Amino acid sequence: MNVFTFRGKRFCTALLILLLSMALSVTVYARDTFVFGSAIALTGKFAREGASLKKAYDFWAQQVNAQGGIEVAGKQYPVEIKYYDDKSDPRTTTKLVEKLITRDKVDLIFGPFSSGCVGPSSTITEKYKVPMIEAAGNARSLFKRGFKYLFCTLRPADELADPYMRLLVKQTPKPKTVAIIAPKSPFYLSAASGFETYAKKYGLDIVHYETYPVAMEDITPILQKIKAKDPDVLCVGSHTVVAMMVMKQSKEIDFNPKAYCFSFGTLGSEFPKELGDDANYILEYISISEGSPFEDPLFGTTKEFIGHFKEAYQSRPDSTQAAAVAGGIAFTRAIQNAGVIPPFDEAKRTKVRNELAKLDIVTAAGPVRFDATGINEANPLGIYQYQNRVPVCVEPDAWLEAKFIYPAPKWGDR
Amino acid sequence: MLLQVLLNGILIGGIYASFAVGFSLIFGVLRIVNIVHGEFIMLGAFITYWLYSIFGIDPFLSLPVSFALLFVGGYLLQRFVINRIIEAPEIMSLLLTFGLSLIIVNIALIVWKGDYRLVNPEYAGANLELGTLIIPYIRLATCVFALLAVGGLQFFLQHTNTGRAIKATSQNKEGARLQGVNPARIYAITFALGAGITAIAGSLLSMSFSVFPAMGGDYLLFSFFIVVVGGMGDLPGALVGGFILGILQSLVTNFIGAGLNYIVIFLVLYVMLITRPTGIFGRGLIE
Repeated sequence: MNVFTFRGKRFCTALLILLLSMALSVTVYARDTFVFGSAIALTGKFAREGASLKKAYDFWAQQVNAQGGIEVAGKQYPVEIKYYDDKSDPRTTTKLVEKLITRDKVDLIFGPFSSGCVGPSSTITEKYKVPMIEAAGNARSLFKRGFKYLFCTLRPADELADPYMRLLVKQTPKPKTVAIIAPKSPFYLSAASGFETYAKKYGLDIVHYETYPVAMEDITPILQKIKAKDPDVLCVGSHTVVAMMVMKQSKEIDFNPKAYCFSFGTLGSEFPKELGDDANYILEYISISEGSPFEDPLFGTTKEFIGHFKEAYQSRPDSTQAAAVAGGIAFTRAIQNAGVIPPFDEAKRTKVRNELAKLDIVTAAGPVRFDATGINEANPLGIYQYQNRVPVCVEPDAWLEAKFIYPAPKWGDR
Repeated sequence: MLLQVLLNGILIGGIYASFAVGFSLIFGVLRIVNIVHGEFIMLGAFITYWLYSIFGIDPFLSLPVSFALLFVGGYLLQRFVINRIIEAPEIMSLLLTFGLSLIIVNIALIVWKGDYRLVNPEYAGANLELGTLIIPYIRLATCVFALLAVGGLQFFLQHTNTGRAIKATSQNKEGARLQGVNPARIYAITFALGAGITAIAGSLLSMSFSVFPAMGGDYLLFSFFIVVVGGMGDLPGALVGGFILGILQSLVTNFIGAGLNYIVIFLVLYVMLITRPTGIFGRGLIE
């Protein structure tokens, strides 16, 4: 009797598990929403950047759902994004992306923050043939691997330096010398090597080039070495904290280059909030400005898009946020062109992938056209400068919001 | 240039010393490797940040508040949590303080988000120029305050009854107990002191570096270096260790290249552990 009861319990448990898994599989196989997945840094060293990228994905999803969802063959399908926190750790990103694909059975993947996390996790999306669009990993090395399912809505990091140098050489007196520094991590190194390439291309002399450990916060000794060489321009492969430290420590040692160029991280609201007037005169690249001549049915004009984004998050979208929204729109158009409805299997995903590869669209967050390696060759490049604690577009002329101030006043004259 | 490099190293070394002293003190008396140490730095920095950004209180005036809050917090943490494993094998204290560290960082992340913050008062960029030498006032002041805090702690340990009881407990727990010292109380006070002085270091750091929930990790690493070089549990050793780290970093960055900074630090750490595990003065504890 006891044995029977025991067996009965096991039978019941097995039955329960079977029923539960059937119920789950039913929910997986009969849904009328598109489910996207993203393993993104919400804690760890990229917590701030990951959170800001997530805002952009959410911003896109909210807008799509406010309009009823993605329309395929006359029916609208709302979108949903399932997030996991990758703790800023590439190994965790990789595990979580696999979990999103195999266990959560998401249709498509939005990329994580940083080239370091995109690199290994994209081997998983490639293995399972799931298209990933990412907006925060544009180190050139990622796109030399011949991957077919990885798409990036940014330009490669080493090309981003072009508009800075283009703008600087137009000034009088023309700057002659450049110093370049960057923490040792793929994105910053790629940005630094871009600064080097374009500085040379525009005829500037590189008087100092140095990389340092990511964890090193006190960069005063490096800045002091550079100060002794008195360069006209300081270029930094940066994210938010690096940019903040460079400005704060430059002021401390009275280092006065005529222009400060940062590759990333100064557009979040905390940069001007924390630095105050010390944020002024710095430069960073953007892909859109209120003057950009783009529009799409989802957001309207670029000016309207930036306005709505500012309303929601109190800062204008930075280059990765704009690229993330453009990525959402790119997925939408590829799904519609492929005419596929959820849930996705390998065949449907391959169709979406093929549509992405031949996509050529304009969105309010910038145009998207992927080259053969998967990177967005149509992403335009401009520059903004902080003036009176507000970022204003100073390049190209067609997008101009204010006149470029050069040289930056010395610390003592500010 | 060499003079400027050395000066940079000394100015930053003072702050390094101030946060390593708390780490060394706690190890010396309680014999635990306190992984929460980095979070004490972070909390001290956030206290200063909030007092400065919300109430406009000068960052230097926030030092007593940082000390008092973390002193009380440290006392309670030791008395009710850490004390429970004080007699257990050392791995337990590592696990416990590691767990506490994760909890504190993640609560901080929920409360304050991952944003980077700065304490950037009006006078932050002012500096003193002596010929070609540049001395940022804020670094000079933070170094002086750090040294005052370390000096104050040393004075307390040598010239007060509680201080002497702490030293006695660290030297011979059973002997101290026979003299009427209550080790549980001494442990809690020591931990509280360690937390308090570390919070002061955090407050001082916030004036030169960015403040964010995960900031403690690197400083914990530096603390390890300093107490190994200075000798585990040796307070004057920690002071010297702090200056050595500051000057070493400054020299390596200037004359070899910033990229090799951490490699050199770990190399020195490795060599010290092999050749002089008791620290530069040979007074540190090894088990």
